[in-house]
Amino acid sequence: MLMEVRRHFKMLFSYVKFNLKCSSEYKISFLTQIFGMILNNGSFLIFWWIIFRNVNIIGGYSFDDVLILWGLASSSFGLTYILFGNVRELSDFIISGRLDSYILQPADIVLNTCASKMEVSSWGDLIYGYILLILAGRFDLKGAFLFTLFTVTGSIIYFSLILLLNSLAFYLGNVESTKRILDMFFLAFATYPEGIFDNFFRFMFYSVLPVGFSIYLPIRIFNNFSLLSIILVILAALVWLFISFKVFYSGLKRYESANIMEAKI
Amino acid sequence: MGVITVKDLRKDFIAAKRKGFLKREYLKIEAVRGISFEVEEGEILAFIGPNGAGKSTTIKMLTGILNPTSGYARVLGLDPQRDRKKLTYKIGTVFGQKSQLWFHLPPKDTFELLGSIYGMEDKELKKRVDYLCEILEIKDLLDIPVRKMSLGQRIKCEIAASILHKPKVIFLDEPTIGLDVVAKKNLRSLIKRINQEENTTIFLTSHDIGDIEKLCKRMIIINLGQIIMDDNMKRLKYNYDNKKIISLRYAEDIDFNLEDVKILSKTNNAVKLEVDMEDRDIDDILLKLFKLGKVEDISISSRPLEDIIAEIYSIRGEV
Repeated sequence: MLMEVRRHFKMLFSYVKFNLKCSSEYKISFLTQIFGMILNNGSFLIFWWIIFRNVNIIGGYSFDDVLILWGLASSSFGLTYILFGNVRELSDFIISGRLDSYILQPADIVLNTCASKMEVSSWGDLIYGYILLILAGRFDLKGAFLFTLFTVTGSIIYFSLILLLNSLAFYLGNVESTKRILDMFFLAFATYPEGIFDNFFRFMFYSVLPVGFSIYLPIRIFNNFSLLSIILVILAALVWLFISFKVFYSGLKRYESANIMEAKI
Repeated sequence: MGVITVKDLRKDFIAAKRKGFLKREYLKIEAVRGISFEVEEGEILAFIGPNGAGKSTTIKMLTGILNPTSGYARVLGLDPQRDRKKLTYKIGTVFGQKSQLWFHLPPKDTFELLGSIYGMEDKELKKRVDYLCEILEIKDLLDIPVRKMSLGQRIKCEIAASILHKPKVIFLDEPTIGLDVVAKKNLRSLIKRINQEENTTIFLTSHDIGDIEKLCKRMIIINLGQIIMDDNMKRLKYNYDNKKIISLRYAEDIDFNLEDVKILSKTNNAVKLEVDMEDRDIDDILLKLFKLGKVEDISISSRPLEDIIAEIYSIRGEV
C-alpha cells in the first residue's frame, strides 16, 4: 500500500516535470499564459474594492475575507489543473475510447489519465491565490499553513466534483454541456460571501455543491481557529474523493473503447 | 497450460437506433461470437481477419480494456479484468495507430515517465534502456524529440516503450502500418529477435501478409466474430496451395491451344497459366508446354499467400 502511494507520487512528480518541460519549449507562450491569468483574475478584484469603499461588511465578510475567499477559490482551482489538467476532458476520453492506453498501464487509471496534461495558465491561478493572501495581510506562518492546507483540500473537493461530472459520460454518453454548467455554478458560488445566500442555498453548499467545505468553512476557520472544523473539512474532502472514484470505477465496466487515431501532444 | 487461454468468449455491443424524439430501438451487435483458442509460450501467432471481424475487440478483452459479455479468458493465468493491474506488468502492447511517446519530448523522457508508472528503480530502468538501445538500434534517437523522427524511427522507439517493463506477452496491432519496405524488414527481424532473446510470446494482428509470412508459424483467421481457421502455416499452404502459376516466354510466336488450363494472360509469344494440381500432373503439363516451341524463359510459382487468405475470407465469411 505504502509502496503504491510512493509510486503514484513519483509518477505525479514525473508528469509535472515533463509537462513543464513540454510547455517551456515555447517560453514566451508559457509566461504569457501565467501572467495573463493573474491579470485576468485581478480585474474581478477591482469591482469588490469599489464596493467595499462604501460598505464595511457584506454577508458577514470584510474586504480581507473576500480576498481570502477569492484566493482560496483561485489556488484550489489552479492546483487541480496543474496536477490533473485532463480531468475536465475525461468525458471526452471516455466517449472517444482514449482511456485504452491508461487502462494498459499499472497506475491508477484516474490519476494517470488526469495527470498526463497540465493546464499551464493554472500556475497563474495558484500564484494569484498567494498574492491575495499577502494582500489580505495574512501571510504569516499560521496563515500560510492554513491557506496551503485548504488549497489542497479545496483542490481535492473540486477535482472530485469534476471527476464525478465527467464520469457520468459512462452512463449518459455526452455530458459536455451539463458538466460545464455545473462547473460554472460551483465557481460562481465560490466567489461570493456565504452570508448573502439563504438557507436553501447553504444546505446545497454543504451537500450537493461542495462549496461549503472547500471555501466557506475554511474561511470561518481562518477567523476562528477550530481543530474540529479542520478535521471536518479533511473528512469531507476524502468522502467526495471516495464517491467520485467509486462512480468512475463502476462506470468503467461499461467502457466501450473505440478505434481512433491518436497521438500524445 | 498455454500463455493465453480463451474459451467461448463473447462480446455484444448494444447500439441505440433513434426512432423518434424519445423512442429508441436497441440493436444487439455480436462483435465476438464464442471463440476458443490457446497460445503457447514463446509462440508468434498471427491473429488476422478482415476489417470489423472482431480482432481488436478480442485483443481489448485479452488486455483488460473491455469486459467480455460471457466466456472465459486467461492471460498468464490472470483474469484480464479482475487482475488488470497485475497483468499490465506482464503484457506489452503496440498499437500501430496509437502512440505512447510524448510528441514534443525525446523518448528518453517518455522512458523515464514510464519507468515511474511501472515502479522501476532508476538503475533497473537505465540497464533496460541500454539493453533496448542495443537490440533496437535506437541509441542515437534517445535525445531527439519524437516530432522530428521518421515513422520508422518512431515505431522502434514505440516498441522500446512497450517492452520497457519486460513483458512476457506482447500484443502487436498493425505494427508495420505505413512503413517503407526496408523499415518493415528491419522491424520484422527486431520482433523475431525480441521473441527469441526473451522467449516472449507474440500476438500479432496485421493486414500485411508479409508480416505474417515472415514471422508466424501459426495463424488464426477470424471473420464476423468467429474463428474460421486455426492452423499452422505449412499445413495451410499445403491445403490451399494446390494451384501453380506458370509463366513462359517462347523464342517465336506460337499457336497456343491447351485444354484444362486457365490462361491468365497471353501475348503472341508469352503466356501465363494457372494450373490446378488436384486433377493435373505438373510434368504432364510442362511436357506439353515444351513441345509447343523453343522456350526462352520459364517460372513456376505458388499462389501468393495473400490470394489464399482472400479466398478463405470470401468462402468462409458467409458462415
